[in-house]
Amino acid sequence: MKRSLFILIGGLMLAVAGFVSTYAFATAPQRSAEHNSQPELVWLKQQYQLSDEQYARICELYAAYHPKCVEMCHEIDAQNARLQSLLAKTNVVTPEIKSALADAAQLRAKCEANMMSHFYQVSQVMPSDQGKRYLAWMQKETLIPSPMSENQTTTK
Amino acid sequence: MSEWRTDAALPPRFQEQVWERIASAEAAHQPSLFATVRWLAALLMRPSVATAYAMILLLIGITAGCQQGQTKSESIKSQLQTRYVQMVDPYQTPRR
Repeated sequence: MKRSLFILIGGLMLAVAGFVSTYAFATAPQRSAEHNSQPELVWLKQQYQLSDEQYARICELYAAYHPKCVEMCHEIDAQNARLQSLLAKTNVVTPEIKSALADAAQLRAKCEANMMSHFYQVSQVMPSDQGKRYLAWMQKETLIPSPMSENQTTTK
Repeated sequence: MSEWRTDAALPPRFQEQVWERIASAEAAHQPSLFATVRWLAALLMRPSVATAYAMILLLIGITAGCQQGQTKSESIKSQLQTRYVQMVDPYQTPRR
C-alpha cells in the first residue's frame, strides 16, 4: 500500500516537474528580455535575429533618437493644449483654429519624417530581408492609418 | 397453464419485502470504497501499469507546460511589440 502511494505521488510530481521545465523553457527568451534595462530592444533583437554587434548599433541609434522623440512629445503636447484651448473658446472654425490645425499637421509631418529617418537607419543595420520586414511593419504601425471598421463608418 | 387460477392471498407487505430483498442483493454485489482502493493499489504495483501511469502524467505535464508557456510567451512578445512602437512613435507614447 505504501509503495502504491509512493508511485501515485511520484507520478504527480513527475507531471509537475514536466510542466515547470517546459514552461520555463518556452518562456526563457521573453523572461530574459524582461530582465534587461531595455526589454523592447531585446525583443527587437530576438524578433529580427540580430547579432550582438547589430543590437549594440541599434541601441546607439535609439539612444541618439530618444531625446528627439522626447522633444517631439513635448511639442505635440503643447500643440494639443493650444488647440484644445482654442476649440473650447468658440463653436465655429476661426482663423486661429485653422492656423493651429495647420501647425498640428506640420508638426505631425515633422515627427513622421524624424521617425522614418530613424526607422531607415535601424533597418540598414539589420540583415537586408529583416530590414525590409522591419520597415514594412513600422510603416504599418505608425504611418498607415488602420482601415475603419463597418461599425465606425456606419452612422445611425 | 392458461386456465390455472389461484385464490390464495399474498402475505402482508409482500411487494415491499420483494423490493427490500432486491435492494439488499444489489448492495451485496457493490464493491466498498476500501476494496476499490485496494484494487487500485494492487494495480499500481504492476510495473507496466506504474510505468504507463508515470508516463501519462509526465506527458500531461509537458503538454500543459508547453501550451501555457507558449501562451505566456506570446503575451509577453505582444506587450514588448506594443511598447517598442510606443517608444519610437511620439503620437503613441503614453502620456502621464
